[in-house]
Order: sequence, then structure tokens, then C-alpha cells
Amino acid sequence: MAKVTFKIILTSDPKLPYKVLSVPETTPFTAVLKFAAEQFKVPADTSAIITNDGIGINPAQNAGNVFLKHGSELRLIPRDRVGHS
Amino acid sequence: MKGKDLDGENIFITDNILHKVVACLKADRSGVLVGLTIRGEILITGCLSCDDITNTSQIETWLPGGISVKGEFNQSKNNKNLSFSEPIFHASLINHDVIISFDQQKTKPRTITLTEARRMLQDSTFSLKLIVNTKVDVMNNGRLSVRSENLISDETTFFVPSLNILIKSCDDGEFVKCFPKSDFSNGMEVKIVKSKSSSDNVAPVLSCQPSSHAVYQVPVRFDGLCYVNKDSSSNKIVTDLNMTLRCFLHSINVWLESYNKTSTSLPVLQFFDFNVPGWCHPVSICYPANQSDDDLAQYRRETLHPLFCESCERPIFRRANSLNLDKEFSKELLVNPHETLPCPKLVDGKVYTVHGLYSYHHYMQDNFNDNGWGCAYRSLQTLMSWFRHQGYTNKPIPTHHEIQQVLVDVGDKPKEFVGTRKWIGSIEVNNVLSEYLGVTSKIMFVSQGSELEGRGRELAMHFDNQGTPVMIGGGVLAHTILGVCFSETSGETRFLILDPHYTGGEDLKTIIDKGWCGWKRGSFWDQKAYYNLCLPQRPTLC
Repeated sequence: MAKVTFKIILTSDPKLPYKVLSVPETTPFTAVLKFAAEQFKVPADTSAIITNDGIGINPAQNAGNVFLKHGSELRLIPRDRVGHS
Repeated sequence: MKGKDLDGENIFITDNILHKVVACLKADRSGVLVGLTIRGEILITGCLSCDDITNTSQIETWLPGGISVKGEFNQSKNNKNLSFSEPIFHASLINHDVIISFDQQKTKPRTITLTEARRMLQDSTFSLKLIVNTKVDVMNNGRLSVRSENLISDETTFFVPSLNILIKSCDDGEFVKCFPKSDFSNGMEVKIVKSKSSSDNVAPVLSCQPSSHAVYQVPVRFDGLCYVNKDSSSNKIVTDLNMTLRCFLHSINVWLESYNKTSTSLPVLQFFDFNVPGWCHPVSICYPANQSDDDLAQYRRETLHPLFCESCERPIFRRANSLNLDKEFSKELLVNPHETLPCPKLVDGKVYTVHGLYSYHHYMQDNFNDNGWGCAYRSLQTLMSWFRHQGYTNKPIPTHHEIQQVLVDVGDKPKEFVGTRKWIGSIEVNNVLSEYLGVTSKIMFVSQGSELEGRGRELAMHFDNQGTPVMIGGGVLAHTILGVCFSETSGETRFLILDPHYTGGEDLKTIIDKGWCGWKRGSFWDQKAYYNLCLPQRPTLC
């Protein structure tokens, strides 16, 4: 089974720690986000992944697609405003 | 530098058109300048680029009635054998300036702004709308039958319903005598009374034409523009209206011939009016109804955009750009409320704002109470309206529930999300723009509000290069950034903000006076909170 590898940097931490993840290329990208958030011990639903150039990634894609389009270096950022009034 | 007048004729041209001509000449492309004569002076209203300018009647079919070819431009050769209906001038680049030559005399055209040119056109002409709602006969070899072409003849008479008058060629040609000029107004409709060979026919006559071709009737509807000089004789008006008709028949012919070769069905043809940058008036383009804008992309890229000297960077000829379609822009929503604002007083401050038009979406509109939770949704709607206004899409502005459904569809939210009052932010805005419109966005993460002022240059570049409105979320609030004023020397930035939290009515004065749309300092942001900005990237497509 073909896998793709991402290096995901936690941008909200000034030390810019990163984790390397390897997932099957058919993995839905929403799952990659959940997995990455777990690794950094941040809540998945208040996090998002963008590319190194700052492009927002449409989560309705699989990991293989994202890898082809945007490469392997990605950033994990905190979402703005996901609460409930 | 004023050259000698060309036979008393001054040639007025807008700076935009002149710029296009210079670009064409430098690229060694040739073409024509079109316009009309107003009391001995020539107003150039547009330009077309074509390599073969000897096919004069074909070139003129792109133009509204009353507008004709006035000059041709090319750098290498001086065509002497052109058969346009009247003598035309020649233009070329000499020492980086466009020089016009006519009959041995040389002069420079006089540049005016687009506003001045439109005013000249408006003051000296009135526009008629030639309504043709008929069926044309098409033979199965794809050609229009001769009977259709008889729409145009010396006997063609035009009827103006609102004034209850007929216009036709008459011997003395004195238009002003017959119809007081003041009765005519812009946009007046004109219909055709079909020509008859004899006016004594009162009984229907049945004739049988043996033909080797089956004949199909294809319905067509055409609202053609015709600019009539206020000083025109009635004969000239008939000529101009006939020209409009010729343009219409030619366009149909072109599409029908291309269809005949490839399919067994004939399309319904529709005409759309478009504003071309720099032109003083719209142009009419014909498209088959069964081809979508995407199907027609190649036609626009390879034929229309080069013809009108436009790059393929932004949409001009998509149906969504047309003037005729009732775009369902809510007439009540304010468009570009920021335009009346004075610039902020910043030393060496340069203003960078959104390009084009957007509509102001905010709380409580559409009778939907989203007070307290819907601000990011409203900012997203404002961003969507920009893509609609500029013709990138025809899709309607989604409601809050529809936005939520899109987020469920992409897997970003669970299905229970729809119908709730849950907040969204920049990431969700990016996801919806991507899924619903196919638009990519950049996300700018700013770890503290106090840093936003320092991102002024980046935002300025965004407005310069992309020109799209920006959604910003953080510190519990969402806003739309329409522009920045950035000073190179001090690094100070002011932000042009459109606030979706406004709950009142579409009252421009209140919105401006109370600052719901206004320039804000860096202190406007929560200095400790982190922010995400969604910067939509303009699709490069035509």
C-alpha cells in the first residue's frame, strides 16, 4: 500500500516543533488533521493544516492528492473562533 | 504637441485604448480603431486587433450600429486598398508616440478619460435598442436562407412603439424635420417591420419553393444597440439600424455554420452585452445556449480576448459578466460603500483597496437573525459577492445553512452542524470558497493582534496583485478587510474595515458615520489575541 509522508510544523509554538507522519495515500485528509493534532496534543476541531506557503487545504481530498499538489511540508495552525455563543 | 488638424478633424481617444494600441504595435500586431464622427471630430470608442483587416464587413459585425471603423493601426505596412465605407486614417508608433496619418498629414490623437469619452458619446447620440424577436430560416446545409437575409434591404422599415412612428429611408433624408429630436430618449426600443415587395398585398399568398434543402426555423432574440447621431438624417439612421441587423445575422451565421459540420441539432442562439475595458459602449456577443461558459472557454481565449486586445487574466465575456442578465444582486444591498470615504491622513501613505465591486452583507439581512453568531458567515457572503460581481461565477450567495452543509460535505464538520448557530472562522471560509467556488485562498496566521500592523506591506501586495476582499477572524470577532493604507517611510498601516456586525438597514450615511465601514488603526485589533486571515486568490481565467 502506497504511503505518503508529511512533516507537520506546529506554528503556534515559537519553538516550531514538528512531527513526521506517514499515512496511506488514500487516507482522507480530515483524518490526517486529526492524527497530527493528537500527536501535538492539541484539539483537532480547533486546528487546521495549511501548506508551507500558507495556502488553505480543502479537506475533501485524500493524503496522496495533497502530497502531489502541495508537497510534504505542512503547518498546523489554531483555528479562529470555533466556539458556540 | 498639437499637429495640424486633419481636415479640421480632431481625433479623441481614451488613454486605455491608446495604451492597448501601443501594446499591439509594439508586438507587431495590427488592427482597427472604431468610433463615430461627431460634428467633424472623431471619437474613438474602441479598438479591435485582427491580422487581416481587409475583411472589412466582418470586422464591422462586432460593432453596435452607428459605430464604424475610423482608422487602422499597424507598424509595418500602410494598407492603401482597404474598402471600408469611408476613408480611414492610419496609425503607427513613431518614437514611442502614436501618430495618425491621413492624406499626407500627420497628427497626434487627443487623449481623454473614459468618463469624458462616454459623456461625448452620450451628448451627441441617443441609443436605440433594436429588438428582433423572430425565427430565421436555416437550411440543412447550415446556411441562413435567402429569405432571412431579406430582413435587410432598402425597403426595411423600423417602428418605434413608444413614439408610434416609422423610420424608413426617404428621399429628402431630413430626420430632424419629421421627428422632433426631443422625443427620442436613450434606450428607446425599435422593431422591424419586415420588408414587403409590394404594399398592396392584402391576401395571404402561398408560394412553393422547390428546394433541395430542408428548412428549419430557429427562434432568435436579439436586443441590438445602435448609436444614432443626433444630427443624423433618417437615411443614416436606417443605415445604422441595418448595420445592427447585419451584425446580428452574421453572428448567427457563424455559429450555425460551425454547428452544421459537427452535429445534427441546431442551437438556440442568445446575445449578451458586455462592457469591455476602455470601450465607451457595450458590445454584443452571441453564444449558443447549449454551451456552458466552460465549454466556451476556448472560444473566449482564442478568439474574443485577442480580438479585443485583452489578456486572459480576468473574465470579461462570461455570461456572468453580461449586462443583460438580471444578476439577482439584491437591489437592496449596498455595493462598495467604502468608495465615499476620504483617504486616511498618513504621511507617505499609499492606499491599496479591493478591485472591482462587492456587496455589503451583515447581520439580520434576508430576515435572518444571526445576531451574535453569523459574522463570519456574512463576511464569507461579502467575499462571495465579489466573485459574482466580477463574473467568476453565477452561483447564488449561499445562506448560513447552505454554508454549513458545504462544510459537512467536505468532511470538516459533522452532519449535526447544520441548523446550529455555531461560529466559523477563516479556515471554514477557505473551505467553503474552495468547495463551492473552486477558489484557493492563502491563510495568514498572526500570533498576536499587535503584529497585524506589521503585515501592512503583505496586505498591500495582496490588494495590488489579487484585489480580493479579505476575511479576518480572531479575538472572537470576524471582519472583512477591504484595503490598507500603508506608509513606506513609517511602516504605519491603517485598515479599511467592513463590519458584518451591523444590524441596521442599508443606510449608507449611518454605515459611514458610525464607522461600520471605515478606516481603523492597528489598535482596532485585540492586541493579545491571535488572528487568521483568509486571502482569496483570484483565479486566472477568462
